[in-house]
Amino acid sequence: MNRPTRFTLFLFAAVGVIIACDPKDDILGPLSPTVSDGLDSIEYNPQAYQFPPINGLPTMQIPASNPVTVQGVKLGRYLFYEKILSIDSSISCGSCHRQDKAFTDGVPKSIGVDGTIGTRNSMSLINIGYSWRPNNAHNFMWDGKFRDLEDQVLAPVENPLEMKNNWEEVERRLRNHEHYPALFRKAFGINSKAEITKELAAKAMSQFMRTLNSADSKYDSVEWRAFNYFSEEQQRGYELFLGDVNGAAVTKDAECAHCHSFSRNFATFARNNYSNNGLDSAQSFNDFIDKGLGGVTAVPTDNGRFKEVTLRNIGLTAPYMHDGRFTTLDEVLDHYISGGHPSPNIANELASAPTLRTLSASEKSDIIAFLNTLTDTSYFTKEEWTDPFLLLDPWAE
Amino acid sequence: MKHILIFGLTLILFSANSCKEHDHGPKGSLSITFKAVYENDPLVVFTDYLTPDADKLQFHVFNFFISDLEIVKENDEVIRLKDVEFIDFNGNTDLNKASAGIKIELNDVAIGNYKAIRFGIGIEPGKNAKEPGDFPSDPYLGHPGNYWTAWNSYIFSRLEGRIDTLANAAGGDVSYLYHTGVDGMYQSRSFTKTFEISSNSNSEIVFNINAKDIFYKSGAEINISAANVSHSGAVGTPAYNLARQTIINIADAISVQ
Repeated sequence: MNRPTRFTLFLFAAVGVIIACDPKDDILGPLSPTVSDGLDSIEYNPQAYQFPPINGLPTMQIPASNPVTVQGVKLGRYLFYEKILSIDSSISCGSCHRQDKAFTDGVPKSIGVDGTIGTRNSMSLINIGYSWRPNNAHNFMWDGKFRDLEDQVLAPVENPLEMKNNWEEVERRLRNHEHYPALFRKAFGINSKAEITKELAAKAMSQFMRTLNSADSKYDSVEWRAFNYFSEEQQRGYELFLGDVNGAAVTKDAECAHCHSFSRNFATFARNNYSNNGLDSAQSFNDFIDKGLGGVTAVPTDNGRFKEVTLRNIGLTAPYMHDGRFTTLDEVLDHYISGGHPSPNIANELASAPTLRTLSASEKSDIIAFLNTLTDTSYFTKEEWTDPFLLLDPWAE
Repeated sequence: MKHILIFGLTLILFSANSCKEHDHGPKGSLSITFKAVYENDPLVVFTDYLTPDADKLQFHVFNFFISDLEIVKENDEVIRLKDVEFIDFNGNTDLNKASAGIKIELNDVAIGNYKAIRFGIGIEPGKNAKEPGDFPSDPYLGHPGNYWTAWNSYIFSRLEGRIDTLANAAGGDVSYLYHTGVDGMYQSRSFTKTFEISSNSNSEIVFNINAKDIFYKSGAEINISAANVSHSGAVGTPAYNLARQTIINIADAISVQ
C-alpha cells in the first residue's frame, strides 16, 4: 500500500471509531433523518390557551412577546421534562422540580449532572407566573437574577452545576429529533428545522410554567367555600400570622404577613421583594458570603438579601431558605423567634418586631398549623403537568 | 335636496372636527419630581444623619402612594394627571440617585396657566375599598406586597430604619417601622404654584420631602425610642394614633420648590 492509500484507510478507520464511540447517539432520543428540513406541510394553527379561573388568583400578567398557546404549552411540557437538555441526558428541569413537591426537589441544594451539588435550594414553580412584574428588573430566582421567565429557563442548561450543556448542542439535538421539529412548527410556525432556537425553546417552557397555577388548599376552602372553617389551632395561627385581624389590636404578632403578603383575590403569600431575614451575621455589607441580590445589582445595601418566596405549599417544600439550611418549619420559626443574626440591613420587620421573640411553643405550633393549611395536593396527579416520558407512548397525540 | 344633504354632511364633519379639537386641544409636557432630603442633603438610604439630639439616624425604607394628582388652572379648571403613583425612595442608594429624585413624566397635559397642584398621600377611599386582584395590570395597586389584609387597606406609606441613641456604644440601636393605612389616614394636600404649560417647552415641578421634619418638626415630634413600631391597629389606639401622626408628618414635610 502506498502512503496515500494507507492514510485514506486510516482516516476511514478513525472516523468509524469516532462514530462508533460517540455516546451521544444513545442519549439523544429518537433521531429522524427522514423528517425533511422543510416543515411547511405541517399545520400551524395556534389556539390561545384559556387559563382556568382560580379563586384567589387574579388574571396573570404575561409578556406581550410570548402569548400562551395550547401548542406552546404542549411543547413546553415536553421540553420541561426533556433530559436531552443536559449534557449526558441524565436530568431535566423536572428532576429538580417534582410535581409531588410543589415542583421543588426535597434536598437542600439541587443536584446536577454527575451528582454535582448546586449553590441554591430549588424554588417552587406553583404560581410562578405571578412573580413577574413588568416594571421590576428582578423577578426570578433567589437572587433576582432574571427579569423574565424566558431568560431564567435558559440558565440551567449551561450552568456547570446543573445541566453542563450548551444551547448550541441542545438546538442541534432538537433539530435532529424525530418529534420536536413538528412541535416547534405547531407552536411557533417555523418553516424549517434550522429555525429551532433556544429563544423559542425558552418561550415554550415559560408558557408551560405559566400554567402551573393552583390554589386549592384548606385556606382556600375557608376563604371561598361556605361552611369551611379553620380549626381553633389554625385560626390562632392565622391571627398570629396576620397580627391584627380586621384592624383589631392583638397582643402578639409574628409579623409574617409583611414579607408573605396576600389579599383575598391575590393570595400568593409572597411580596416577591428581596430582604435580609437575618440568616447570617455581618458587621458590614461586604461580609456576606452569599451576596444574594447584591451579587446581581452590585449595590452593597442589597447584599444578603434574598427573595421573599411564596408560602403556598410550604409544608411540601422542605428544606427551607435559599441554601436549604432549615429542615423543618419548626427550625424556621425558631430562627425568626430568635430575632435572627445581626447585620446592617436585616429586615426591619424582623429587627423591630415587638412580640415575635415572646412567642411560646404552643403559639409556634399554631402558626405551623396555619402554614400547613396552605398545602395544596390537588395537582399531584394533574395529567397536563405530569412527565410525558413516563407514559407508554410519550409522543401520542 | 342633494345640495342640502352635502351641506349637512359637511356641517357634521366640520362639527365633529371642531369637537375633537376642543376635547383634545394643544398639549404640553410636565415633569414632576419628588426628592427626599434630610435638611439640605439628598437622602441616601442606609446613611447616618444627625438628629437634633446628635443621635445617628438611618432611613432604610421610605415610600408612599399619592392619589388624584391634579393641577388647577387660573380659571379654576381642574386637570387630572394621574389617579395613583407610587413614590419610592428605596432606590436612593447613592448620592446621584438621591439627587435625581423620583420623576413622573407627563406628555399630554393641557396647555395654559396654572396656579396650584394637589394630591393625596395614600390611596383614596374609592380605590382603597378594592384589592390587588382588582388591578391585575397596575404595577403598584396590583401588587399584594402593597396591601395589608388585616386592615383591608393598601399600605399608604412605609418608613423604616434605625437610630443609634448611644453614639459609639454597643446596644444603642433601635430599629423603627411605621406603616400606615386605612381610610382615616388619607391626607390631601394642595400646593400653590404658578406655572405655565406650553406646547413647545417642558415644565417642571419639584417637591422636596424633608425627612428630618417627619420626626423632629416642632410640635409634631415622633419619639422613635419610645414607640418604634406601628402598623396602625384599631382606630383610636396608641398604635393607630402613632401611624396617623406619621403620615400627617410625611404630608407636612412635602414642600414645592
